[in-house]
Amino acid sequence: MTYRTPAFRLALLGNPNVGKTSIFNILTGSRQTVGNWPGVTVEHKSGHYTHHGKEIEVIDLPGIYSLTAATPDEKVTRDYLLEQRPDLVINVVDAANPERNLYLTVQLLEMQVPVLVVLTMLDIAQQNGIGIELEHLKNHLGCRVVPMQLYHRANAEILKDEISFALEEKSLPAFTVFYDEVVELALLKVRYAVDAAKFPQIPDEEWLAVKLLEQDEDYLKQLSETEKAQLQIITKAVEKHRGQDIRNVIADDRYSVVRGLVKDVVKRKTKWRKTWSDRVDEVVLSGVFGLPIFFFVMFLVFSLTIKASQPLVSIISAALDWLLVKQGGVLLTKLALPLWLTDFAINGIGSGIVTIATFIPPIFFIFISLGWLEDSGYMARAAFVADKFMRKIGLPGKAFIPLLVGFGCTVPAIMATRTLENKRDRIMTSLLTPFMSCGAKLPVYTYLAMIFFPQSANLVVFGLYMAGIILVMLTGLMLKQTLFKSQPADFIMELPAYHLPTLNGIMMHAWHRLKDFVLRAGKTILAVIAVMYILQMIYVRVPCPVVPNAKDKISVLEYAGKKITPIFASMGIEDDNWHVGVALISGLFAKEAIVGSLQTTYSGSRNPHQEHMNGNFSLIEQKEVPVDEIIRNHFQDEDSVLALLLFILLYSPCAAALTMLWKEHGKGWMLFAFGFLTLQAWQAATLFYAVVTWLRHPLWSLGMLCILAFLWIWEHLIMDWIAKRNARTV
Amino acid sequence: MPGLFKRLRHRWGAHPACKGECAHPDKPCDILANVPTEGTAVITCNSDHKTVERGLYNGVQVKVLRNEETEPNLVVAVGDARYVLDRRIARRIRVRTEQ
Repeated sequence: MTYRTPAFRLALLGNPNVGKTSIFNILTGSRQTVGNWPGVTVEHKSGHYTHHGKEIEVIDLPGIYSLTAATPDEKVTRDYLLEQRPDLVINVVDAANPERNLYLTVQLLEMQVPVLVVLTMLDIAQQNGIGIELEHLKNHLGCRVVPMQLYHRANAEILKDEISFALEEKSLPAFTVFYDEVVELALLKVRYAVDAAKFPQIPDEEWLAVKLLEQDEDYLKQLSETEKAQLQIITKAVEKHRGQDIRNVIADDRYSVVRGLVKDVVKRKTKWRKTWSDRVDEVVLSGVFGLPIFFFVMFLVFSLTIKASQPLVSIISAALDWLLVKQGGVLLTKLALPLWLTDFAINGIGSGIVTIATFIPPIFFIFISLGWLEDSGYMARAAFVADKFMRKIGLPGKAFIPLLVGFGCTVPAIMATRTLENKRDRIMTSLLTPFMSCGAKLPVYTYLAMIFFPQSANLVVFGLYMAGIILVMLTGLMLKQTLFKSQPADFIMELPAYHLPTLNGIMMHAWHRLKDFVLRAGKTILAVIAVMYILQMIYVRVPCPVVPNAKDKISVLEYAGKKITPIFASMGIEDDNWHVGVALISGLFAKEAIVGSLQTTYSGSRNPHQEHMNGNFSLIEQKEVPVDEIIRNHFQDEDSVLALLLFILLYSPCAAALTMLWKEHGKGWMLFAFGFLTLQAWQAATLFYAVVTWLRHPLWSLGMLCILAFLWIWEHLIMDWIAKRNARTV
Repeated sequence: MPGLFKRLRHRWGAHPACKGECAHPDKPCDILANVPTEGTAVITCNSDHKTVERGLYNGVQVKVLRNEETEPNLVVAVGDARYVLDRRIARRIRVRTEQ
C-alpha cells in the first residue's frame, strides 16, 4: 500500500490500556500497516488520514509507563521521539487514573516536544466520582487538552481539528519541572561538567542533565572517564542527602509535581472508595470462583471459535470448490492444456486456495475472542488467576498472556514474550508457546476429528487444547528443574478497569491479524502444496517387495514419506500410511498445510494397497472416492488418530515460528526448540498409544514404556548437563 | 568467622526488607506483604524503581484489596490504579500500617 508523502507525522503515546489503539483506529480507519521497529520485534503500527487536504501519518507507539528506557518498548519510544522528532505527540491520558498517567505526560513535557493531551475513559472517571477541570489543566500543562469519548464517532472530527490547530501552532509546551533544591543544584553541576555537544540528537540540555543524573546507560557510555567520575561525585552527594537511589529521587520529585497538579485540577466527589471493577474482582479473582470462571471463559472462546466457524467453513469451502476446482477444471479442459498441467492447476493451486480460505473463519473468531478478552480487561485477571499455577512451573503469571496469544498464532505469541522483563522467562515461555494449539492447527484438528469422530468432534478438539495446557505444565516443570533453575522475575501488572470493548476496535484488531496471517501463511501453504504436488508427480524406481527382481515406480514424496513413517509405528501408524509422514513434513512449513497435504497425497492413492504403477493421474478418477473415506481406510484404529493429533499438537513449530525464535533468542535456542519439541511430541504420542492399547498388546506397551522411561531419564540428564556445562541457566 | 557474623546479623538484625536497601533501617517497620486484605498502609521505603514509577513512591497510601498467604501475589490499590504485585516485591516495600 502506498500513500502520498505525509505533510505531518504524529506519534500516539500513553500508558497501556488507555484507549490509544482505539484513537489510532478512529483516526486512520483501515489505512494501517503493521510491522516491527527496525532491529527489534516491538510492534510498529502506522496509519494515514487526510484532513483539510493534508496527508497525516500516525505512529502508534507501544504502551509504556515511563521514558526511562528500562524496557525495549520504552527505549524504542524514547529513541523515536528523539531521533524522528514527530510534529506532534498525542499523549493519551486515562481520566480515571490521572496521577499515574500524568507522570508520563510530565516526562514528555520535560523532553520539550510538542504535545496534545487527549483525555479518555471519561465515563469511568465520572462513575468513580473524578472530575477534571480541563481549562485549568490546559493552563498548567501549557498545551491543548481534548476530552474524548471513544464510543462517539463525532468526536473524531473534533480531535482532527484540534490536531490541525496544534500542528499549525507548532508551539512547545510551556512547562517546567522544579526538582528539589539539592537536585536542581546537582543538575546545574552536571550541565557544567558534561560537554553537551557530544549529544547532538538531544536538543534540550536540561533534559540531558536529568538523564545523566538518572544514570541512563545509553548516555553514560558517551562520557569521558573524567566526566563519569565527576558525575559519580554529584550523584553520590544527592543520594546521601536524600537517602534514596538517584533514580528514585528523580521519580519521587516528578510525582511531587504531578501530585500538586492533580490536587489543583482534579476534583473528587467522594474519598477513596471501591469501584465497580473492584467489586467484580472480588468474585473473578476469588479462590472459589476464579478458576471455574477462567475455564468457563476459555471454553466459551473455543466453543465460539469452533461452532461459529463451522458453517462458514462449509459455505466458503463449497463455494470456492465450485468456482476454482469444478468451473476452473471445465475451463482448463476446454483450453486443451496438458493433463498434468490441468491437474496441477486444479488440484494443486485451486485446492490449495480453497484450503487457505477455510482457515479464515476459525482464525478470525479466535482473534475476535482474544481481542474481546484483552479490551474488556479480563486478560489481566486471567493472568492473575493463572499466576497461581504458572509460578509452579517457574514462570510469572504475565507469561500466561503470550501463551494465550499462542492459541491465535505462535509467531505473535513469541513476540508477546517481550512483555516479560527477564530473559530467562522470555526464552522459557517461547519454548512453551508452541504447545498451545495455534489457529493453524485448528483446521487440522477439525478436519481429522470430523472424519473419525463426527459425533464428538467438539470434545476431541477441546481435549487437544486442554492436553496442550497440561503438557505446558509438565514440560515447564521439567525445564524448571533442568535448564531454567533460577526463579522467575518479579511480577507487577496493572488491572485495568472493566469496560465494554468497542466493536470497531475488536474488528480492526482481528482484521489486521487475519490479513497478516493469511497473506504470510497463504504464500507458504500454496508453495508447499505446489511442491508437494510436483514431488508426487516425479517418480523413482524401487525394488518390488512382492515380485523378486522387479521394480516399482513410486513418487518421490511417497518414497520420503515411507522412509520416515516407521518412526511413527509406535503410535499405530502403519508403514503403508506414508501420507502421514509427508503431511508432517509439510507441517514444518506451515501447520495449515497438513490438511492440504493429507488431501493431496490420499487423493493420489485411493486404495492403500494399490501402488501407482503407471504414474497417471486422472482428475475424474480422483473424484470418484471421497478423500475422507480413503483417509479412514488408512488408519487401523481411532487410537492411532488421537496419537497422531497429539503429535501434531506438540511437534516442532512451523518455519515462521522457528524463524521468530531465531530472531528473538538466537540459532541455538531455535535448534533446541526444533529437536526438543519433536522428541516431546513423539514421547507423548507413543505414551498415549501404549497406554490406551494396553489390553490389546500388553507386552508391546510395556516395552514402549520402558523405552520412554529410558529416554526421559537421558533427556533429563543431558539437559542438566547442558545447563551446568554451558551455563545456559539464564 | 566474618561469614558467621554476617549470617547472625542477618538473622537477628533489621527486618529482611530493610537489609541494606533502605536509608533508615533502624526505624520500626512492617512490610507490605504483611498488610491484610482491606488493610491500609503508607509506604515508608521503597527502593524498587519500577514500582516507584508506577506510583508506589514513599508517602503514598496503599489499600490492599486481596492478600491470601497461599497466593504468590497481592492485589493493591494505589490511588486510582490497581496492581497485581508479586509477594517478593511486597516483601521489599516497607510500610506504616494505618488503622
